[in-house]
Amino acid sequence: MTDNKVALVFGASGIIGRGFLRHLDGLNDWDITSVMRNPPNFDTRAEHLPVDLTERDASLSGLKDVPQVTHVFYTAYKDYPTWEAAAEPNTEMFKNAMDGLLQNAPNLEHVQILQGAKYYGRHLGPYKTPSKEEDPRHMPPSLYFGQEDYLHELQVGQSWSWSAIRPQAVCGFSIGNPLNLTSVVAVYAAISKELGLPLRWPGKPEAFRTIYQVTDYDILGKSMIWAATTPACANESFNVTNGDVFRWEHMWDRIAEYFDMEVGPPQQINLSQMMADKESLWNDIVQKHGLAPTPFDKAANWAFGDYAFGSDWDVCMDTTKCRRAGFLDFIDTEEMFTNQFDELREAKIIP
Amino acid sequence: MPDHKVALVIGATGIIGGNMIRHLDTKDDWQVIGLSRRQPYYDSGAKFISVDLSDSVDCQAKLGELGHITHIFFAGYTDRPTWAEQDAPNLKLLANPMDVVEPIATGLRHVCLLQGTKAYGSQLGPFKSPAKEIDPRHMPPNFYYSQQDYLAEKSMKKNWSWSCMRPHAVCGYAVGIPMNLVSCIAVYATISKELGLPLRFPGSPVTYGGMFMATEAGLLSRAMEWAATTPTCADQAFNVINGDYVRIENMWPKFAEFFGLDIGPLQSINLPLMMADKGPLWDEIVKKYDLVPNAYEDMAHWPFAQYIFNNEWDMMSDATKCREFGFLEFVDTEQMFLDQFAELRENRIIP
Repeated sequence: MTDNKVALVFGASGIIGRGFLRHLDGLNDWDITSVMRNPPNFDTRAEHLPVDLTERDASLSGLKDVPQVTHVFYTAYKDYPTWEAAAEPNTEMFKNAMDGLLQNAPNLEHVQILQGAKYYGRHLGPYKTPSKEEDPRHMPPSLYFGQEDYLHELQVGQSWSWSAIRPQAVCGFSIGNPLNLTSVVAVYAAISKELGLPLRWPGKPEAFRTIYQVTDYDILGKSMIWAATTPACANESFNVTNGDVFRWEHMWDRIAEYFDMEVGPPQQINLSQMMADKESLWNDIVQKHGLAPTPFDKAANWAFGDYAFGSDWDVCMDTTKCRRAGFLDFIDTEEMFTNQFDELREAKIIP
Repeated sequence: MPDHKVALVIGATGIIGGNMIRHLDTKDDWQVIGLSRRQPYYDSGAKFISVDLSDSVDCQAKLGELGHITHIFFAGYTDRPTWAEQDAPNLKLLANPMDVVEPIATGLRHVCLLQGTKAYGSQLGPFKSPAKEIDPRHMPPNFYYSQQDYLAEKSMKKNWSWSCMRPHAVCGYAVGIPMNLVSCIAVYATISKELGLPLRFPGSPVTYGGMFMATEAGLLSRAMEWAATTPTCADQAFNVINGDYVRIENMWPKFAEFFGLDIGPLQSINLPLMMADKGPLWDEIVKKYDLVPNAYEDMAHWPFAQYIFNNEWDMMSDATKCREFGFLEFVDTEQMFLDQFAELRENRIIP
């Protein structure tokens, strides 16, 4: 099958890259190569190319022999103590990836970068919502800006095109990938239940009532393929979310119902601190309920929970642009959480 | 042979009914009959019957020949000072024509009832938003409930089904329909400009920054046809909105730009009081700019604008249900306002 498109997926160990590989795995007209430092710890038909993007020389030599690549999906991200500190090194990683690849990429058609609501300053404080793709940038630095500017610069005069996809709080079933609200909520509920506590909102009281939205990783995967292969999407950015918005105060009732718990009044806690001593309790839960053993630090990322539950301002993007360009997939967010909790249960990750 | 359908549009000169008739006019498989007290302000191939719907005797006299209709679209409305006082007269507005037509229209398939976000108590005070169709009703009375219950009961064991459409702030082509946000804003801006004032938001600061949504009349017409002819929509209610949420504070600068005005800081005023003496000024504007003469009171219904601009809570309903049932149209609300202002200008309704 020589007509196949060939995807090169950077950062396939993160929730986005991994969810995307799962999506690509099911598409017969794609061949897949994944670029990660370590081999994948999950089943995939992707070929593995071990490259450490933080090393420039290694990147240049590691990426010079993939001339068959037609589509690049860049989802790599390296964490730093602050988002500002992450900007420069993550931009350098992207440059290493692109410079390495472009040494020998005669078949290249498209390069896609993954961004997010932080593009609009969602993490900084109250900001303009619903955010639209054409809204002006916030004060730099941001790794999104650095990567995007470099990509724009590279693409001038080239036959290939780019796109940028901006999801918000990507949610999916994942094992050992704790940067995921579904896991945070599910493990928080399991621990509360084991302690005989009601399900209490642990975030800022105002964040319980503000507007929020998330992106299901299947929706995201479909949108990534769509934007990368639809000519009208060339050189455009798209917000991609489930399509609805919600308030946690309403979602919380449904979540409590799912886990067969009472809803308690909000009780703000710092999850990172409060969960620090719960490892042995988690291990007890795993044993008691015959779960597949997941190390506590891989079960949920509490700092991410503190961040996601701490926005006492509305967090929401406008998705009209992708709808009008033809991407019409959506999911009811309540249904998404329920489906993903079901998956976690079936895989015996949670009781 | 196309499936021939005969529509009875009740409330043919309102913004919803008028746009529905104009929409069905473009379809070969629809024959249209419109009911209203006034003569229509638009060209149409429809047959119009002038009838006082609040008068059961008049309905009996004039609607007895409508045995061939297959679909009813009910967009009638009669205003009363209080919600409680609106209940009985609005129920009669639906029941009077139904009681005449339903027994003789043996081929009746569907009755589509127009409601709105007030079905969720949006007019009462802060309410649960985004509102979903399954949310419990507010404390009655609400003539939407009375009308819906009437249809649900009357359709039992019959061959016809019903649906409820719940749009918000319907915006579209209309003449002499002052309860229309587009023309209210256009007239307010025109008068501000003539007085040498900047464009100041005249409502509450909270509303200026709050979430708002709207429904473009063309989109609503297509949704009404869809719901009335899609079997799975039988006996269902649907929120029908453009699909995005907006804040007036984000759109206001674009409005000012359109009208060639500076944007001023917000100045809350009581529109019905403040605009009461501007009739002569409007007439001067009409003369000065050689506009199509429209009476001031037909251009803007200030209590309506006052209401819209002073709801100090997020105005949001969730549109996922109609998407799940297959209605996948989207409109950019900001662009909708700008397009409709431009249409008013092209038709020489405003300078």
